[in-house]
Amino acid sequence: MLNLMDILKAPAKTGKDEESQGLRKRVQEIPRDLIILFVAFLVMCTVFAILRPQFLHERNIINVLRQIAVVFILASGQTFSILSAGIDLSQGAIVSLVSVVTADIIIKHGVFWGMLAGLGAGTFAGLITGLFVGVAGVQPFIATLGMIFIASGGGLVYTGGIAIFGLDRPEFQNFFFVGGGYLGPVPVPVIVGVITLLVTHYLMYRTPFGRHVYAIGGNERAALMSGVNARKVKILIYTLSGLSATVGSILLTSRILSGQPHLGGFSILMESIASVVIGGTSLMGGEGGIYRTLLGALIIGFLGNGLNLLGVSTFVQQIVIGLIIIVSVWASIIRSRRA
Amino acid sequence: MGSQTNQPLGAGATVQDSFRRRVVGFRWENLFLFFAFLVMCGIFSALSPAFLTVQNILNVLRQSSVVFFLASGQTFALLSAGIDLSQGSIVSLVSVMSADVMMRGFGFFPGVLAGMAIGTACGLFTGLWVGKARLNPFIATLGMNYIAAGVALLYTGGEPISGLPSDCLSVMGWIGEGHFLGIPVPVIFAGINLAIMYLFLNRTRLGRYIYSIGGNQEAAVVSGINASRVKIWVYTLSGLLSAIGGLILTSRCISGQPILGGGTLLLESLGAVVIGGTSLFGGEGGIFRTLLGVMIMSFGINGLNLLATSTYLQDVVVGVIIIVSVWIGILRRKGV
Repeated sequence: MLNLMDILKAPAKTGKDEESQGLRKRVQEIPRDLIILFVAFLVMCTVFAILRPQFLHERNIINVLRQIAVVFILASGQTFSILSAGIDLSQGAIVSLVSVVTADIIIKHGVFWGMLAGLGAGTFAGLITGLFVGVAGVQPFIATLGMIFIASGGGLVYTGGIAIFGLDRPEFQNFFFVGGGYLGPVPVPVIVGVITLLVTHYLMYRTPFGRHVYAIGGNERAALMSGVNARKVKILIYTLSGLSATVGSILLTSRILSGQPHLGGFSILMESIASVVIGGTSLMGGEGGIYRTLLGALIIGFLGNGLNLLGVSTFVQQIVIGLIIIVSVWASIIRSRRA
Repeated sequence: MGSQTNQPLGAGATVQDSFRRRVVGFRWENLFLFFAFLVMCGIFSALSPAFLTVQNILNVLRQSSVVFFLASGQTFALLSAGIDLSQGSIVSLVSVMSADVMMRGFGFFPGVLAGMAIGTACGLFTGLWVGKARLNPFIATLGMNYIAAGVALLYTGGEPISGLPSDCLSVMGWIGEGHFLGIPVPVIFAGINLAIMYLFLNRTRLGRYIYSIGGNQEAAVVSGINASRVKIWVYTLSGLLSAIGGLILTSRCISGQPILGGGTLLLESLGAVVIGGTSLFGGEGGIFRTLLGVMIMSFGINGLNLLATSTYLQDVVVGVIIIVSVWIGILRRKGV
């Protein structure tokens, strides 16, 4: 939906006639498979709504959106790395590291410094990965695999393996607002998610950096020859990815009001990658975009919620997610072979 | 390795090329890493007298044999320019399936067979997606990772299966804790696996095809190699080897655990292969490198344990080793 809205508002300069023509052109430019995926998402929601009317209740939707927001924020950073034909496996570990650092510094020095320290730690971890990928030339898979061990180990060393409690004291009240508060009827994480979407849209489609990410993912050698500074772009990609994991982690930490050295782990990383992949962004790089990731995150989130409402066990849900990952990518392979 | 690194090892590669890959590549790459391994062991034995005892070494070897089995399968996948992310979940699934069959009174060997069958079936399933449907291995095995983990949990309702029949327990105890001629049983299994893997990769057609596909798939296909069949084999074998690793681990904890492979097992398997120097781009590497990777990781962790560093710090060290070992490889290739 956001995709259509974006397309509706984007060309706004010229006369009415041209505008509607440009609009039609842009609508026609939406890839077929994205439309199919969107329709599949709507069908899925309709089925859930028929079987379980509470699926469409305002509270349910707002709740699910709050959960999706965190995954989407991580996935937006992941989108950059996958678009550049890389991957960031360290996001889950960064979530854990940031959680304990944020919680600890908040308790010692207050909310502002805690969040700043968290942002610093997570972004720094991303920067280190970026330096290894961009400057040293280590493959992203390996650099971020190493960072999993380093960041999650770092988080555990920091706390000695135990969780940090004590964020529920009244003087830290402001912190809970970040992950658990509302602005009007809208949860704050959803607002942060929308801001992330806007910033990512701007970076991806309106800056040289975004074009360079696509160029590197499409054909790195060609990009290098046409003067793209791949080194700088890659450093920025993994720093951004670390930053996105950091923001997600602060939202989660605020919601559970404690610093957990196992907050991240494998499952949140997998959801981040799965959102990108289900949306149809290619792991080979160069193809895809942030709205696909948004759709992927929405599908995973509402699917889990719908299955929950139907009383399907979380074990079965895992199987369903696995099948969807495989089948959605398979479908896009078949389509591209036909084309 | 120098100049031949970028050279595709298609089926057209000359005998001399494959000789260089096997002998020269082995000597340079592995000797450097092997030297680093020896230095590491030297430092640990100087700092801790317990490090260089037979008891300790056998213990570490026993622990590392499970990872070695997984890493062997992972070596196949990486050599073919793929990856297998489903190994951890397959271990979990194998554990509950085999324990359940034993629980139903069929005995130990039917349980083992059931475990191997389910692991192989999972691998075959992924292999078909990769080989026939041309799915990216990352995606296919990521999907399989969810599916197998879900099935394992569903199968037992999330509960472990314990209290196995006593006749099974005695065999499992022997596999997990026992010795044969003074050597721990899992280590013997791992040794047999090493020999088979070496012969398979270097002396059989399928082994050479795996290298060819990883080195330059297009060239391999053009020269008549059936890439999809080779890939099906790769993931099926990886599933089988994960199953064997899962069975050893199940024997060690004498119960079926639905989250047995949910921890860092997959990461350790990947890390070991990568530390050994097998390339993620495929076509370069081998089983001895993987062995060395497993040794570096497990003796490194053991040495740090003996020096009483926190286990958490060890994670950090493993991460640094993974990145730095690959980085050194890149620097050497650049000729720095």
